[in-house]
Amino acid sequence: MGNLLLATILLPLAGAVLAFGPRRGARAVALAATVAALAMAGTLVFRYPVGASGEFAVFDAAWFGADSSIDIRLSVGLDGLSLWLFGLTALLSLTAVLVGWESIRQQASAYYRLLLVLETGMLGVFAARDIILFYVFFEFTLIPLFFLIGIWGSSQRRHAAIKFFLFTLAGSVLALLGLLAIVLWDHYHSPAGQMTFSIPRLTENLAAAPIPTGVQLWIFAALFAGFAIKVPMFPLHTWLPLAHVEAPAAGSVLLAGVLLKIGSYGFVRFVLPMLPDATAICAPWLLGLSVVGIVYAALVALAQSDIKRLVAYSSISHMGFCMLGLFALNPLGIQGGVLQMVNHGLATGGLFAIVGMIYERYHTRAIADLGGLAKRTPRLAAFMLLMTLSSIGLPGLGGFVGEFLILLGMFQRAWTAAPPAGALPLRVISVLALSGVVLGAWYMLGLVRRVFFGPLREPKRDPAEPPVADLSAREVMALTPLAVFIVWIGLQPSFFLDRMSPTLDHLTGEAQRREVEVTADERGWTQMDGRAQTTLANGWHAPRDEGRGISANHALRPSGRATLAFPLSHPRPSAFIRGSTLLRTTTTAPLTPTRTKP
Amino acid sequence: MNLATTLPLLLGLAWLLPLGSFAVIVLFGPRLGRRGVGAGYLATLAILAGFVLSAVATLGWLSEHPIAAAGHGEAHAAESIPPICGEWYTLAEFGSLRITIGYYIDSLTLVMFSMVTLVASCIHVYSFGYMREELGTVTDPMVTLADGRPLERRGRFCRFYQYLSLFSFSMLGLVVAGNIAMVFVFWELVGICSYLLIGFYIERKSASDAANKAFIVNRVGDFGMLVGLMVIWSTLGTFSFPEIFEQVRPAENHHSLVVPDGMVLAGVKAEVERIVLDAPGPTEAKAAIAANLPDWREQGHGRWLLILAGLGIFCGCVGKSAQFPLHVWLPDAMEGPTPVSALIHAATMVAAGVYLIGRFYPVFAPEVLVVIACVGAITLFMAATIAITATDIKRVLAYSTVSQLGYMTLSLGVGGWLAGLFHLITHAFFKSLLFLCSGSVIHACGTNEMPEMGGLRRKMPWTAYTMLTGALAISGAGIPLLYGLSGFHSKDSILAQAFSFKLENPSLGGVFFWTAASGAAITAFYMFRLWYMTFAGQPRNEHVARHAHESPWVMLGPLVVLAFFAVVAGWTLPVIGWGVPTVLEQARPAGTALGAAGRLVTVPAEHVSHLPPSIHIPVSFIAFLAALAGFVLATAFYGLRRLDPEDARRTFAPIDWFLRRKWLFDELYQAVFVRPVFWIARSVAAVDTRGIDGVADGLAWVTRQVARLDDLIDRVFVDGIVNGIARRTCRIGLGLRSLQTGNLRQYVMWVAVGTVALFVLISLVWDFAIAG
Repeated sequence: MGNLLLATILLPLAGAVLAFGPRRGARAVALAATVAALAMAGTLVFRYPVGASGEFAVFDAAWFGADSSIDIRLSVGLDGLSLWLFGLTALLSLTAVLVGWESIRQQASAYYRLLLVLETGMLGVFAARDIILFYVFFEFTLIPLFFLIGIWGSSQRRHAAIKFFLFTLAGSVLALLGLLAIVLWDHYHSPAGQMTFSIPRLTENLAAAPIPTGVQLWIFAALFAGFAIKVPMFPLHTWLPLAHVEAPAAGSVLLAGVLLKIGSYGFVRFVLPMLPDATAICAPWLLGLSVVGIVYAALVALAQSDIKRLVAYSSISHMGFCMLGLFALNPLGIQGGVLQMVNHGLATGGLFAIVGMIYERYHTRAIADLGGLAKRTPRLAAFMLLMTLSSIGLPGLGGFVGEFLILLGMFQRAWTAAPPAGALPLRVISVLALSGVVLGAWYMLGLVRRVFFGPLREPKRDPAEPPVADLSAREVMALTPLAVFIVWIGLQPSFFLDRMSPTLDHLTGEAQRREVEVTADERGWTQMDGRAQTTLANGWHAPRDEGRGISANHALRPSGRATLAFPLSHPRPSAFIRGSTLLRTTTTAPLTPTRTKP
Repeated sequence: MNLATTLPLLLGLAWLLPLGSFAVIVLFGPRLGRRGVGAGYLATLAILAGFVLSAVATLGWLSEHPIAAAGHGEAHAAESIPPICGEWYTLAEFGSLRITIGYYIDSLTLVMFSMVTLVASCIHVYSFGYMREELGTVTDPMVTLADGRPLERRGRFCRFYQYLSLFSFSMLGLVVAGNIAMVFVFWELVGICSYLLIGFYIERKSASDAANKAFIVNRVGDFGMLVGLMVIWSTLGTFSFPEIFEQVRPAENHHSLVVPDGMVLAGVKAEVERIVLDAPGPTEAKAAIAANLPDWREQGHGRWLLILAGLGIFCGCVGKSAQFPLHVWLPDAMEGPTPVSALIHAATMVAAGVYLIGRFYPVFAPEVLVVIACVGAITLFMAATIAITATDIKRVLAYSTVSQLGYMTLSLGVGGWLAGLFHLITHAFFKSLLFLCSGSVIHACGTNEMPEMGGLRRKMPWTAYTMLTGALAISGAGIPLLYGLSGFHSKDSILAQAFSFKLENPSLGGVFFWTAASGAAITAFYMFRLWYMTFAGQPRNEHVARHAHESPWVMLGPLVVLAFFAVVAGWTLPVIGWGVPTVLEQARPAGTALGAAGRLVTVPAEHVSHLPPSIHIPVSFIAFLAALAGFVLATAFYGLRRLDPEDARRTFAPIDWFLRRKWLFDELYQAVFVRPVFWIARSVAAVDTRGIDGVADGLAWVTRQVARLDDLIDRVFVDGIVNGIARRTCRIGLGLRSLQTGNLRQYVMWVAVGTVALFVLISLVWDFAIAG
């Protein structure tokens, strides 16, 4: 399986080498490569064992420094967190190739090569198990997209490309800085003499010997800056609308569908497991920032007159929901957040593809120029409606499941688990987040109404030209897989959640526990028994599933403190030991800013 | 018959059949029969089968649980029959949280199922006639193309039935739902069906605007509903109806309302925390908390959470059932085809809000019930007054629907659980009848405007007299204290409950009762105004009258069926006691029969309102006289033309203006919500491009300026120094070049001078450095 994974990642790169020559040949190669990659990725995804919290399809080889003091490995693998994002990437790459099938005419071979390189980069980012490898793939995604925007974009493409590049580069450098700090801290404090860049090993090491809180906060700042630009979180989002508006359709699809997820993925992969204390301390602030982003971007979207800008701002608003879920720091919120990344990729990726198809037909993105397109292009309108309904969270479609779980997680955090002192702001945040649901319906349905419903209105065309055609078979092929998955997630979310939840519990359990520690510690509860805390935080839920299952159940004890109460339920034996030593570790931390209790 | 296994099977099948029909039409729609006519047959067959299954299920239920011998009083409280609950499918499971597709079947579910499937079957059949032209090419006179011709488009017969099937499925899912999360899921699904069907004529701008308005206004209600839902889940830890009810009305407490433990503890977090800190161990802490619990509950801690949860859920009902202040979407929703207005916007979906109030009744505290009653009273009066001046036949009916839903809400709010739900059922029959009749009229005349009609009873007698039946039913016609049409029974029981409430709470109750009674008069007035304007007198528009014709039998058949039910739905069969109210009584939530005393009001027990001398007799006569007054006034104005409506309009010009502008709600919301939000949105967008993006661009600009300065420094200083040195060297070189003359004697001379100079230098240095 490991070889298959590596082959999947490298296949588009091979395609990029082969995609030379005239347009037809290049795009055929690109299509073949993406289809093959999708088939292989599909094989991997569907053979992923349910309920596994470990890694799957690991390929591991020494890259350089095998026997020196620096251990950098060529190591890829999938787990529950990366699994669906990996599959999503392969799926959206196919859509991306099909979207530009006709419209890309100049330098087509270069275009497809860049697209394929981009795919390798994206697949690699999610599969990488080594920090250097992660960074390499991260940069791999940056440069092709820079050229895609800069060369095949619309009128302001250069400005957009440079802005995109500078923002993202700044982000990636800051993230690298933070990651290197983690590596170095680990190197100086772990008994093994080798400096390791391996992500799983670092996660293990840091879980066993956490970084002091003060240091964590500094590293958190660097990683936050890096990943928040990528997500993007308010107020670091302004590169996104410009990049989306100027990018070619394929670029927008991949940018919204996959590249933004690298930011939120980074939070779950690195920040939550490696910096649990800092995460717990900063979580309320991040929740606040997320909710500001949700409402703010929704309002801005309401005022847009350009379809692509509107969808771009909706994207910021929805990513705010993802972040809200992740920093609710309970299993519901985190699973909802990760699932919502996938949903957002499918729905918003689909929306950008559709906007590209409209642009290809009418050469305009202005809402005012268009109207009643459902008459002219009924199939296009049907897909548009489906993607819209998913993104406004209609039950039965993917968006609802993610959104609902996120809101449940957030309300649990704010109304049950929060300490009395900090409850009010969190409760306000949770209710404000709901207003994003109302505003979301308003601007998205407003867009559909203005562009697709009502009397037909089209830009002036040469009367000799034939009227605009509905979706071709190729375009239907580009959108159908997305629609299928949107419906599938909506109807059978457990299929997707079951495969991700064990990993997520494993990765974020520590941050969830620390969140409780912080609140407990601030009030001097450190001597308290874990069970009493659980009871308190849960608002006296009768623990009715005590005797039932193991990991899935323990995960749902609100605030995840169950480890202390039910040690056997945790997948890792070491966790319990840590659980008992944890309090000492956190209280003696010298640089804790928020913990002033002696 | 083992009900616990058969009922879920029967109802599940009845529920899924329309889904199957929807799926088949999605996949093969236009290929079913000639131009897709088969889609209609399929959908109709599915819903008819659903009706048969529901009827069988209801009969099965009644054979197991016969109606208890008639007799009012305390006995009811003990009689409630436990519902059949269970789960069909688990959507997702997270420890204690399970999102499931489950069922909660009691007699309310069964009655709702039978009503929904019956009305929906009638409407499916009726639509064959009404939507016939959708089978071919449709010319839509409401949409003019750029060249002035009306729009021509392909018919959408299939799509219509496809949406109807999806709606039937969603509505039945909402009714059968076993937990509040599932209710929310289907709540949204019926909302989207409503959106799609209001916007069925998508080319019409008015239709697509109305569809959007409906969905977004409903979302505002859903906002509150989500808050309620989340509060319930985060404090009680469950979504399931029986578990919530058990916590809110525990059996050991005789099913009277208590604030559940979870809410009390969430309300006294600080004190719980103190106890936990002081206690030596968790066991002691738990014991101390448990000991304190009754005191905390007594002090009213956490009660606000119970009220918040109730108000939140009620918010959703306000949106869905078009109650004040979110009623504005329903009249606009009349842009949809008339069968849709009859099914969704009169009989079923809009009643879902009332149904949910009824279903969730155990959770509502008296404080919440007062709010519910107030909203209902305002709605019923406001909408009834607007209906007086409306001239569009469907809009009159729409405001009438809003007003009748207000009656139901008021009834539930003043403790009339049975009366409200009884009215829901009877209203479904007569209001769908009225809508279908209006559809028949519109079909015949091609216009909605009543001033264009008149004298149609000769051309279309079946429509006219079935509609008269409906009008009589909604006005509550009957012989006081005896039998009447369906509306007579249900409205009487609402008024009786309001009167009983008035006896307990004289000030507030008086307002409610007199509002409801005057509403009854207004109802009779606008309904007969409608009937007279449409069917009586002489034709006002020759063109319309000449073209008018009776509708085909496929449309009249459903009218007759519904008219039958509009007459009998309120009756109770003499010997076996079967009837809507007696069957519904079996589903009464445990503990709600006794009434409740809150801080603000006392909600009387419902059976009190049946007491003949003090309540039933006066109320019956008041209701009768009110309806009679409305009827007489309408006859005087529009039937006999003894009074001139124009005259009255001139006399009450300001009121007329106010009513015609629909109490200015649309204008108010535009001014207070829509425009400010767009203004804020535009400002925020400006801040985004100028402000936040400006900062980024500004930083880039500063960087560029720094770079330019750096460049200048580089060129002037750094490069200047380097160049300066180079230039100096060069100049020296040039200077030295002049010495290089090629003259041998000169060289020799320089060598000699140089040697001397060297020696002088050495001697000097020698002196200082070595010797000295």
